[in-house]
Amino acid sequence: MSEQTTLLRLSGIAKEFPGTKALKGVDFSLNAGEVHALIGENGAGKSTLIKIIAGLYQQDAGTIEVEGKTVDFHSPADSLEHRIKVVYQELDLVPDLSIAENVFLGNLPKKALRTVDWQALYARTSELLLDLGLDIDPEVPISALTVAQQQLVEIARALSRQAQIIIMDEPTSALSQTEIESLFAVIRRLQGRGVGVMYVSHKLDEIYAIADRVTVFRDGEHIATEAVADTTHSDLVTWMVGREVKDLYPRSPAVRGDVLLEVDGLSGGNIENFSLTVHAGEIVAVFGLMGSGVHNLGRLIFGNMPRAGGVRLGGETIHAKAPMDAIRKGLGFLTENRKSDGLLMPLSVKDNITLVSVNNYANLMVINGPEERRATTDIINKLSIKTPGIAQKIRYLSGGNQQKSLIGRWLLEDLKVLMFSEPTRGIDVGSKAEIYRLMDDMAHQGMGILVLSTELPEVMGIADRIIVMRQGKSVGGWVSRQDANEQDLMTAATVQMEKVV
Amino acid sequence: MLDSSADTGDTGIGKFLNKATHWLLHTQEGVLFFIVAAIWLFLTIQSPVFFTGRNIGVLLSQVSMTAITAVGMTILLISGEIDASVGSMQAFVGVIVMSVLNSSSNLALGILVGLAIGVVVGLINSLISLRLGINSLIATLAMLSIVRGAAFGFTEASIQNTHKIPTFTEIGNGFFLGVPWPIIFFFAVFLIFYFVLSRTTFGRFVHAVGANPEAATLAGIPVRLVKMTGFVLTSVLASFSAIILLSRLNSGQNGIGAGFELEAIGAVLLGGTSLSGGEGSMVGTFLAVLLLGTLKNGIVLLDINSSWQVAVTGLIIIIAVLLDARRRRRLGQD
Repeated sequence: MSEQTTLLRLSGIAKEFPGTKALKGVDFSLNAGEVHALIGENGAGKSTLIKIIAGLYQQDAGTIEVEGKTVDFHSPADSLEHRIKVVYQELDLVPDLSIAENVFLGNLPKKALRTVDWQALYARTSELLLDLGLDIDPEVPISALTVAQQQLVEIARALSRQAQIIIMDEPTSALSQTEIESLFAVIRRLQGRGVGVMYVSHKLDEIYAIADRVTVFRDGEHIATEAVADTTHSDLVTWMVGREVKDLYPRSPAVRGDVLLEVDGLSGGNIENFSLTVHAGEIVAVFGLMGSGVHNLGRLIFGNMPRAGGVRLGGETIHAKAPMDAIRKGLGFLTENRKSDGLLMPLSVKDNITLVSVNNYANLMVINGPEERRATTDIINKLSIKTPGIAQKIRYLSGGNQQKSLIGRWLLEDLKVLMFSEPTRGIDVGSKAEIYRLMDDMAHQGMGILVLSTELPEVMGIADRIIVMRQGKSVGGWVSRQDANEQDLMTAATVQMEKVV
Repeated sequence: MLDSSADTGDTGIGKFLNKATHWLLHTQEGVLFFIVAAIWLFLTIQSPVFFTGRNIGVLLSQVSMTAITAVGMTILLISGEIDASVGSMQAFVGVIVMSVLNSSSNLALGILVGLAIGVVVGLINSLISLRLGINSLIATLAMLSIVRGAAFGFTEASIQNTHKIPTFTEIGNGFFLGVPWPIIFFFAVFLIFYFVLSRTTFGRFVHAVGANPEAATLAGIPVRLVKMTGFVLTSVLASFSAIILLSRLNSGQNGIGAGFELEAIGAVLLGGTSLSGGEGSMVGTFLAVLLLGTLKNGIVLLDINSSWQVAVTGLIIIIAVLLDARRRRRLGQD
C-alpha cells in the first residue's frame, strides 16, 4: 500500500472567514486506489477543505499538490482540469436535462459541424452507466431518478472526464441500506482502477466498511491520520469530540400529563387516516423509512399542506390554513431541511433566533433592541451555541450550531408541543447528545415532543412511545421503548404484512 | 458560548476607530462613502461652484425623486421582489394629477389621487406577481408599458398648469428655512423608512421573506402580506416622486420618466442591496443616490457633453453588480 503514488497532497492549508478560522493549517493526502475518509464534527472544516480542493475557495495559506506538482486553483474549472471531481451532498445536476446530457455537460461529443453527436453521447453514457451497475435509458431526465441513481450519474460524470480523484461529501445521507451497499460496490470498483476516493462522512460504521485510512479534523485542526484497521470506534469519537461521549441518549422518565396534541384521521399527501396523541412530558416518535410519509406528517399537522382530518392542541382545533394558527396555539415545527425550511442565511444569529418571537419584544411594531438582545443571549448561553457574537451571520455557524439556533427559535415561544423532523440529520455526535438532552429537558418541563425520524437508533434511544409508519399508514405502535427492538421496528417499516400489534 | 468582546455596546475610542476603519474598508457603504468623498473633493478643487450651498441644493433636489422611489425599492428588493414600473408612473401620475388639479383647483385632492394611483398600481403588481406567480421583474416590466400606454391614452399632448395654485409650485421649487422642499421630503422619507427597516417587526419580516420565504412561512410570517406591502409602498413612493417632478416641470408630460426605473433600481443595487433578496442597506441606497447625483452634477460643472448624464445610470449598474459579485466571493457565498 505504501508504495502507491500520491495523487493529492494538501499541506498547511489555512482559511479564514469573517469571525472564524475555518482551517488552521491542515494536511491531507490521497493515494491512488485508496479510500481515505475525512471525519469530524460540524464546523471541523471538512466542507471548507472540499471547497478549496474544488476550486470554489482559495486557501489563505498552504499548498496543494496533484501528482507531485504544486497547483493553484482559481476556479472549479482548474480543479476539473486536474481530474478532480467532487460529488456534493446536494447534487449539482440539471434536473430537466437527460442523464446523458448531464454526464457529458460541458463536454458533449461533437460531429464535424460542431453539432452534438447524439448517438455517440447515448452510447458512451450507457457504457459508463452499465459499468457502474446502473441499467437505465440515458435519455431519461434526471428528475425521474432516485437520489441514489442521481449520485451514480454524478460518478459517471466524473468517469467521463477520467477523474483520478473523487471526493464524496456525505454520500449516504439520503440513501437506503441497499443503496448504500451498491454505492460501496461502485467505490470498490473505482478503487480497483486506481482512482483515489476522499470519503467525507460522520457515520463511523461506514468508515469501517469502506475506508483504508481515516483523518480526523476538529475545530479546523488536523487531529489524526491512521489506518482504519488500527483504530477503534471510541478512538474516532474521542478524536472528533475531544472528550468521551458517555451518554448519547439521556432520556429519563418524566411525569406523563394530559393529552396535548390529538391527531385524528389525518389524510393528505401519501398519508391516509393517521391518528396519534402526544401527552405532556412525553416524547413520541414516528418511525418510517424514506418515502414512507413521516416527513409529510409534520407539514400536515402544522397546516402547511392541504389535509383532511382533525388536529387539536390542548383541546383547540388547529386550522389547516397556514402555520400561523398552529404557532399561535402553541405548536412548533422543525423540519428535516434546515437550509431550505429553517435558516435565513443572510441574517444574523439574533434575527434567526427571534424570528418567531420577535413580536413579543415589540411595541406597536417597534422592536425593543436591548430586550431582544437579552433574550437572544439567554438562548445562546442556555443551548451553548458557539458563535463569536449575536450579530454574526448564521451562515458562518456549523450545522450543529445552526440546528441549535433553530431550536432556540422555538424555545422563546410558549409552546405546548414541538415537532422535530429528523432532529439530528447531518449533525455530529457531540451536538446530537446535546439536542437529545434538550428534548429531555423540554419533556420534563411539561412539553410534549413529537419526533419524526428515519433513524432507528435515534427512535429507540429517545422515544417513550414509538409508532411505525409505512406507505402513509400507521402499521404498529409500541407502548414503551423497552418493549421494542430494532428488528421488529424495521420489519414493521419494511415488510408488506399484517399489523404487528 | 458568546464571546462578549464581539458583542454590541462596546465603548472606547479605540474600538470606535476599529469599527469605523472596518466600515470604510470592508462594507459596501464604506466603499461608497469613500468614492463619494473622493469625487466631492475632486470637484471642489476643479470647480469653484461645486461646494456652494446653492449647487449642493440643486444636486440634492435633482436626485430627490430617484431617492424617494429608491427608498421603497430598497424594501421591495430586500423582500425578494422588484418593481420596474416606477418609470412610467412618473408620467401617468403626472398627467392625471395635473388634470385633476386643473379641473378641481383642490391641491389635497390632486395629491390624494396621485397617491391612490400608487396604491392601485402597487396592488396590481403584487396581484400579478404573488397570486399568479409571475416573476415580479417580468410582471412589472409588463406594467411599465401598460402604465406608459395609459399615460399616452389619457392625453396626446402634455397637460399645462392652468390652475395656478401657488402652493403646488412650492412642492418642487420652494424652500423651508432655506432648504429646498424636495430635499426635506427626501430626508424625511429616508429617515422614516430607515427606522422602519431596521427597528420594526415589519422590517425584520421584509428581510425574512426575502432571505427564505419557506422558512418565513413556517415561522408564521404572512409572506404575501409583507411582500404586498412592499409593492404598495414602492408604488406610492414612486407616485410621491412623480408629484414632486410634476411640480418642478409645471406640466404633466406623458413621455417623462423613461429610464427612471433603471436609475432607482441601479442606485439600490449599488447601495449593496442583494438582487437575491434578504439583505440590503438603506444607508447604502442613500450614498448611491448621492453618487448618482454627484456624477450628473459633475458632468455639467466640468462642461462635459450633458448627454452623458444618461449613460451614467448604466455605469452605476455595472459598478453595482461588480461590487456585489466581489462581496459574495469574499464572504464565501455560493
